Amino acid sequence: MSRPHLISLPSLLLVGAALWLSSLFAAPLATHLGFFGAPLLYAIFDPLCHQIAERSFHFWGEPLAVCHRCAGLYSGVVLGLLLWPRLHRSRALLLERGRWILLFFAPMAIDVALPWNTEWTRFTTGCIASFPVALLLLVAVEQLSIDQLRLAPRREQ
Amino acid sequence: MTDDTNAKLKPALIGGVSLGVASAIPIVNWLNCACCALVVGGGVLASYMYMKDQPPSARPPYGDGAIVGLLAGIIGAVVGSVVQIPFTMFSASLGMFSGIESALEEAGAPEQVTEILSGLGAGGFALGAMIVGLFFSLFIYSAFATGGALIGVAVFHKKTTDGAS
Repeated sequence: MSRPHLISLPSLLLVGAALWLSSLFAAPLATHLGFFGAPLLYAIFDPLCHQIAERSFHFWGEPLAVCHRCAGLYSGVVLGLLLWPRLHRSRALLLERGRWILLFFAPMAIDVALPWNTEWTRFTTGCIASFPVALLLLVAVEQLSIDQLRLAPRREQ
Repeated sequence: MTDDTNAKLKPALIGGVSLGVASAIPIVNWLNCACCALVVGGGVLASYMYMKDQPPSARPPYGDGAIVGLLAGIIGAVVGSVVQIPFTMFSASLGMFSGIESALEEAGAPEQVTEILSGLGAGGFALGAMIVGLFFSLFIYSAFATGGALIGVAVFHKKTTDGAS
């Protein structure tokens, strides 16, 4: 069977997620450079995050477009898209027991409830929470690609 | 319409309309500041509605769940933008428009940009804001609702006891 000439969907996912993550840095960089569109870049992320400066990492003297926790959530997805294809045994185990995914959200839930959380606990627990979501995304894309390949010969007939 | 399309569209409509309405109502939409909680919740609701009618299977249907979440996000973005129209018009009439105009001037925006904005007026600005908002919402809501729907599939999937699919 000939291989379909498609750019691999998992790599497209990774590129998209990495672009999204890097766009967080565009807002402080634009502010630092005095670009008038900087408020618009912050406005894009405004519906997604409280954007409290004290709860955000700072780059170039300006806050990121999202808070520590959101930055952790987005980083977790990118990290997951990079690592899950290499973690075969853990991948099989987690897919076998889908509900275990909720355990990854437990540290974030505890951190939200704790009054003495720090920027790194917020970032790290966010990262842990979204890490398995990347696996679900990869599996969804795989399933959809397989379904497409199954349908292709029927369409050709 | 096939049964399969119908099985996905109905939960997507329920999840999408719920997240769209909730995300457009002022104060309620503050919940989205917690990592888009309302949008992710809409995705989870859509996948719950989808999964409750699915027979037990060996493998969770993550691909189908992603489609349901994506559809819910798209529907939510459109519904949210429509529901938001009166709120945007109200904000524009309260002088939010002139505030943005002066903020842009302070930020050193080129004269052409502020001239275009002045030409639009408050009504035109509200319409422009809605179109731009819809564009970004389509992208953001689809992504977050898909994530929510995938989590929902993992949680609500009913496994076959004999391992048959």
